Amino acid sequence: MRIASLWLLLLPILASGQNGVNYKISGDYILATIQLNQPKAQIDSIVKSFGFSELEKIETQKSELGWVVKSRTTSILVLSQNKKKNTKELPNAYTMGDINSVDIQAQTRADYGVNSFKQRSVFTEGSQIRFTLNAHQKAKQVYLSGTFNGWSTLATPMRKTANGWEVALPLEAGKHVYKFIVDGKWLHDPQNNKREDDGNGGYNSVYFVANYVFDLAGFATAKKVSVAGSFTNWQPLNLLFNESTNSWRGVLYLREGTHAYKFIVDGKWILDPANSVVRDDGSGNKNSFTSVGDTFYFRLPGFLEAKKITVAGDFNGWNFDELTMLRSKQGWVLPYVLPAGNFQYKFQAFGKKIADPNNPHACGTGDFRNSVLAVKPNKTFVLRGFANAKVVALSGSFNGWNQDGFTLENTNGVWQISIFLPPGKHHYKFIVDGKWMIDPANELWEENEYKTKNSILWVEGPGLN
Amino acid sequence: MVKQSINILVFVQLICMQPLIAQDQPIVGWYMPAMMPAKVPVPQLDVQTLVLPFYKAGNLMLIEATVDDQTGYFIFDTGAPYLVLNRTYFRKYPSIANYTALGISNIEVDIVRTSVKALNIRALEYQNIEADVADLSHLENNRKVKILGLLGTNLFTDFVVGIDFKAQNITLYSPEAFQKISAKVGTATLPISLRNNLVLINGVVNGQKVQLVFDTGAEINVLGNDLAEAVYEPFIIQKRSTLSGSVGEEIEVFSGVLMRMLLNNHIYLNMKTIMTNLSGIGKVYGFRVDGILGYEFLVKGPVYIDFKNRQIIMQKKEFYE
Repeated sequence: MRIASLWLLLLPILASGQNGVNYKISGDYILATIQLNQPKAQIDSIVKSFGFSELEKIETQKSELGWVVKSRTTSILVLSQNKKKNTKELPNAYTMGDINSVDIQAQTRADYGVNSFKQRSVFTEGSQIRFTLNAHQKAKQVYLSGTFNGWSTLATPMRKTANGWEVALPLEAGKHVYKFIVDGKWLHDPQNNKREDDGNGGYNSVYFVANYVFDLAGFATAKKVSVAGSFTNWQPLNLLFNESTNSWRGVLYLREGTHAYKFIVDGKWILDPANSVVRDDGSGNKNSFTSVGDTFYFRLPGFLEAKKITVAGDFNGWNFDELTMLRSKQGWVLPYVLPAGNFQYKFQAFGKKIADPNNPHACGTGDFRNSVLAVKPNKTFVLRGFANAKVVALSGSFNGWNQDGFTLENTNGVWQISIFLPPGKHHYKFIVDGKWMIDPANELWEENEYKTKNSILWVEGPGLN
Repeated sequence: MVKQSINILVFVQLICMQPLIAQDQPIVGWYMPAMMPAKVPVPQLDVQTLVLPFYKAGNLMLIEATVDDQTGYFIFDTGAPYLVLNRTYFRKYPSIANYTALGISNIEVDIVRTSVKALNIRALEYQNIEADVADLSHLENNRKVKILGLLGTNLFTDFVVGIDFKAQNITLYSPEAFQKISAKVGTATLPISLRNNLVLINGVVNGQKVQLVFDTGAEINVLGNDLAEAVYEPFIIQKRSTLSGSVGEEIEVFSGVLMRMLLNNHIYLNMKTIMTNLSGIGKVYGFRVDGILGYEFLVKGPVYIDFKNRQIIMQKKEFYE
């Protein structure tokens, strides 16, 4: 039997009930004192976790884990175990600690972001972002490390300038977390007020590459203009400044998607006078609406006899009453802003839900067959050599290892699908006529828990490729 | 290709129930080789000191290095005796020797021993060194970082290795360069010994003589479960977990905090620790392993591992909090 690993990762199949259980070591024994004045369900699960079947007649039971009843009153049960008898030989053990393991996806997640500097040190110059460090002029080597280069300590050296150090690189709109490495020592940006805990007693610096502008014309005599919205949990954001004598402007990073908002002018909440998109919030208030991201056009040709066609998907909680399509000459269309990602959807016509007849990519079977769409796809999967297969699908960590997968399209014997993958590691397999297999074109694979293989791929963070 | 059957009990760990991997599980582990490499790696370094900044993933120190044409992060792991490569990225490497070892439960293990042309860690270079190829995929999946392998002890035994978690870097000193600064970095010492390229701290903990493995790859400390009672007196058990073992059996692990450890004449406070049976490791190596000191020990303050003089040097302090 091929052994996959020489490191043991023991997994909790049953976290012990921590409620009302105290442990103490006494000589060779571990004593567990269990408080019995708890709900019965809780006691039952605690007792089971010690290897007994139930509290009733516990003295007659034998624990699979070697615990023995030492004493029992109406309020307390004491179990004991000879700790040396724990002979399961495991040199490696994992425990349920709280280890701060933050990945790049989590670090760069943000609904919105505004920069703040003591003295500006990061500059957006077109598509290039220039980082500067006007200090440590005598250092030998300085590197920039952050979420955009996988926290590499080597990939982005900075070059010496008259005042210190600088480097420019292309970064996409969004939140970027970074630090400088000065002669081997990590240093947060001393000029940047935006920072977060680095999990090591220090700070990481944060820079947002903006993608949205709020404009408010007029209000020349106002003293303060803020914006608040669904993205700030309706907390006012002092974002806007006098752009000119008679207009206000604020620049920020705003996450892709649809957002409700309002301006607050000297304490008074107003709709955006320049924005015709206004919606009721369900409680009698009206809000302005804006959206960030690419517009996708849902199209359904034909069905001209229908009075109403709607579209729904996992992007709107499968609410078939919400999104009504617009009639066009050849059929129906609905423009809709979606953030980068993979979505499933269906149309509803004449009371029936149907998949998109013009979309070769689908997921599921029978009544549960949904169409699949990728917004801002960044990875194309190709399978050659199976021209005669009937159905080829892709399944992996990005779609919860869906049993049916996302189907690929066959063009001249080559199967293909493009989807969006966030930065990080992804596992996947093809399903060819029901048979699961790894990607023959990918030399990277791992053994999985079924002792078969998974293909793996890494997607670099934004700004790396 | 030499196939050797070795009748040593090699402890082998298996990945259990991967879908249940909970995130943020502390990793404790060291690499169990079937046989030491025949060749000792010879480092080439033109400078007297080399600073290696590391990326902290969980409580692991990741250092960028290049093996032949691949550059990426390696775990700085004194629990590994030499260079170990992550099989996912090094499958093409031919084996120079195959070892079939007998593990616990009579499971046979294939260990692939290979050779790499070059290992570069910034200015530090090695040529033609031996490495094991092993499955380290669960380390990647657990820490969500691409891990190309482990940098083990025998790569660094020519240097004095300074580990500073606050500065987040490791500094390699030539013995001569370290001499010049050693009084400044500390006057407190802990004797160590090197056995099978494992760094062992020999000391007295709360009255009992112990042999502890110094393992930079251990994200949490470990205590064996058969030590004298005095050792456990300051150990507060906070949690008991039942884990699934290699052949489906249930294994208990007790975790908590060792409030106070008196190691020789240094006092360490509040180290997260788990208690488990370490006799298996002891059997394999042929010497007792009473515990493992890792991150929880390192984070108390900079330490300097002087392999030549067989000691760990650090600042003298009343206690290490």
